[in-house]
Amino acid sequence: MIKVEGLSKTYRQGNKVFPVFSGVNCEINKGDVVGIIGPSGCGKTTFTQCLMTLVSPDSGQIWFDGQDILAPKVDLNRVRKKMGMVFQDFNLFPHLSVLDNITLAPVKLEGIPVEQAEEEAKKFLKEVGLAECASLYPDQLSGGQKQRVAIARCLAMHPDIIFFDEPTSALDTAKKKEVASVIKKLAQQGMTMVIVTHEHKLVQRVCNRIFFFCQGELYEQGTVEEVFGSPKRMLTRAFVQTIFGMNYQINSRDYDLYNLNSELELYCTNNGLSAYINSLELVCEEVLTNFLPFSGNIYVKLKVAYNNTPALTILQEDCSEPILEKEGADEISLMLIKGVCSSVTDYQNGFSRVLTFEFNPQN
Amino acid sequence: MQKLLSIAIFFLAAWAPGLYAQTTGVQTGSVVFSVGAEKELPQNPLVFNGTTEMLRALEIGKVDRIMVDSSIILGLGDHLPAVNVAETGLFPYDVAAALKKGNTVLCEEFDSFLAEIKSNGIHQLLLDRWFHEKDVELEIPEAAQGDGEFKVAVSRANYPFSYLDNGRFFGFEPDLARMFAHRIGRKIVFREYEVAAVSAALKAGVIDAALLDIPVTWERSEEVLFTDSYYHDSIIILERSTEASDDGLISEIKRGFQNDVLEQGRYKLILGGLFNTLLMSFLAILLGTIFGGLMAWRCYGRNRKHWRAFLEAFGKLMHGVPLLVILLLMYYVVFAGSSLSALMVAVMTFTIYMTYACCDIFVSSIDSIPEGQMKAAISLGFNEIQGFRYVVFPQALQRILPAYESESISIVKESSIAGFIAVTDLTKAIDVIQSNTFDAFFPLISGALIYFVICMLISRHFRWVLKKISRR
Repeated sequence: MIKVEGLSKTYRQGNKVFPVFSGVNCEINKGDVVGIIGPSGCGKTTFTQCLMTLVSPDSGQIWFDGQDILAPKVDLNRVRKKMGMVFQDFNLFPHLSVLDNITLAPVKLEGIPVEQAEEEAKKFLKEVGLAECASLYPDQLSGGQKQRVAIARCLAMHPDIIFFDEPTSALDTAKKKEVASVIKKLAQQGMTMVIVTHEHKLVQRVCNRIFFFCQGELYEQGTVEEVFGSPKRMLTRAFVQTIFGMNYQINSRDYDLYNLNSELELYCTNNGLSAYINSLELVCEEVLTNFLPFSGNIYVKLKVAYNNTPALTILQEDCSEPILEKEGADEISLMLIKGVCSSVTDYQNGFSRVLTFEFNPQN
Repeated sequence: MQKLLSIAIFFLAAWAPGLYAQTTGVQTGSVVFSVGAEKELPQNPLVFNGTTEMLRALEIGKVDRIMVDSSIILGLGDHLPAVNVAETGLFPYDVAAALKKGNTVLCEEFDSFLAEIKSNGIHQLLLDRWFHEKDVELEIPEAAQGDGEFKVAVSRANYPFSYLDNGRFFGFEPDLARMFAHRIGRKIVFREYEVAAVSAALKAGVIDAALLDIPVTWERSEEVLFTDSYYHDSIIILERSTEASDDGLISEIKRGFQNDVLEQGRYKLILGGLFNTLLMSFLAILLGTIFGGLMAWRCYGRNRKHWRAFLEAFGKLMHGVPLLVILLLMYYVVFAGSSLSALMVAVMTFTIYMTYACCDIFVSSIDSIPEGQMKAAISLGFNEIQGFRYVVFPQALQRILPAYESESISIVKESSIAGFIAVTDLTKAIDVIQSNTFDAFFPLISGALIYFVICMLISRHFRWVLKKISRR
């Protein structure tokens, strides 16, 4: 449906040139739901806006249904009618009611009679679960409702493809789910979609392919299982680890244990690891209180990642002797730790001592 | 707080003696201000713009005494309020015609004309007719159909020197001018002018002569050429009479309505003034909206940077200089030499102001609509013009209207300054009636009421439009 070859874009400010991305080649097929991920400022949004022809690239080619849409004399407004876009901050028209928001483009652009357009708009509203909000105005809606209206507004133009620019970033957890469910439903109906997002859970839920943008290029692409499960390139791996892991740093003896526990709890709930909360908290507390050196400053990095079961890494800087298996260690504590872990290691890495814990599976 | 209090006390102390001292009212441009006046001026005189205000102030006790031209007594007639003449014959001065500096030919001709009518008694007959209210058999020759025009500046409301009645100028000065024009075989054309505008108009050749009851002073002689004097005048001092009576509000209104509105068809003057006020406001709002809209449109065009810089500079000028001063500049400096009517100059000034105000309102309202709105419209397939038409403008309009309403109302009220350049708008009409009837109360109250009603109607209209477009 969309084929991109050698697409490059730079921003100019005065004499300075800032490259955004270059040499992007990719293909989006009918029925694909592509998640575009990557660190901030890597050109994800600009790339989508290029595909949507809201921004014109410096070089490269884009074919949409076999038509070169960057060629001169292409009627961009007609091309854009076949593409929809959903924005992070909704961009509903505040002076129009929900129903008028949806019917505006079909009535003014397609010349569809008002009654017919309204009939159809109600159908789309029903599809996104907001049939009863037709006569309300945007400022009377919650964020999740606004975003669903924005989706309905796109659908009303019968687009062949919809671009989502961070559709759930401005929403809280419950509202994220509302919107994600609607996107999921569209995916099941076979709608082609491109979703720029920071949220891996949305990607896992609705996407079948991932474009990972990094360092000004399309760094890696593949199915969700490929990119999240076994990333091929180094930066992809690092990125996947950061989005799936939790990092916590302790810089002094007066660390805040309650804060650490609540972070652990949050991470576990968000990633479906609630069953492991107690074990993780136990290991952290035992190690921090009973095994760290009793003198000198402590610099500890805690890292939690998961692949089915969680793995905890604790790193103590400036330490050259074993932490767990040392003389005079608290044996009861060690037993407690080993009781919940399937594997415990304690090894030297440069100037740091690294402990790793893997946990027993909990049904 | 203490500081504030002490400042207040300081000002009160500085001002308090003024409360009890005898105050004297003087008129702007009065000969008493001219350098070399023989008698010393009273301390801290209150300066009034017109004789009427001054008389009213005397009547209600704002001033204890006023210094006026002695000829004013003649105009008062039955309307003379309860005043006493305290002193007469102060500051004697000459009244003469003003000509363009260097126009000695015309000056000599006027002087010989004056000498002739003085010697054959016609001058005395004119004086008797206008200043002593005698019935005089004197035929004033009608306008000669000669070659060329003789353009004379006269006043519309300075009885008995010159006044306008039913579209024709009467009085001592128009009579003199008609006779002189007949003598030199030119067609007479009267123009209404303020004394302050005479010098520029003479220099530009818009008028040939000014017979405006202008006292001859050496400062003025630097700017214009004075002929021989055609009238000798002096200043008198009027004091409030002790037996001033108050005959109640209702009867004052009744009398006011009779004198100020019905008598001599003065309602025509009010209607004419109202028409001018409405015309000026309407044209200023209409043209200002059109030009302001065009300018706002350029502020989004290719040269937006330059246009926005211009708009900002324009705004600083409009905020930094009073509209009245701009109006006077336009009339006395920019268009001094042109034959544009004062009404047109006023319309232009108000249009310039409204152009700025509208452009500023439009641009700031449109700017306040988030960028995402246009993006959303374009992503739906609208082009930029459609996006503006259907999405951005309807939202901007809701922010434009309240500010636009207040500017429109303020231009109606601001147009009252047009009287300063001899446009007879509503305020000026009130002023003229005041100077004819020497009654300030009724004209001012009714004028205020008329302005209030106009502004209320405009406001109502805007509320209605706003309700229509917001639809909820």
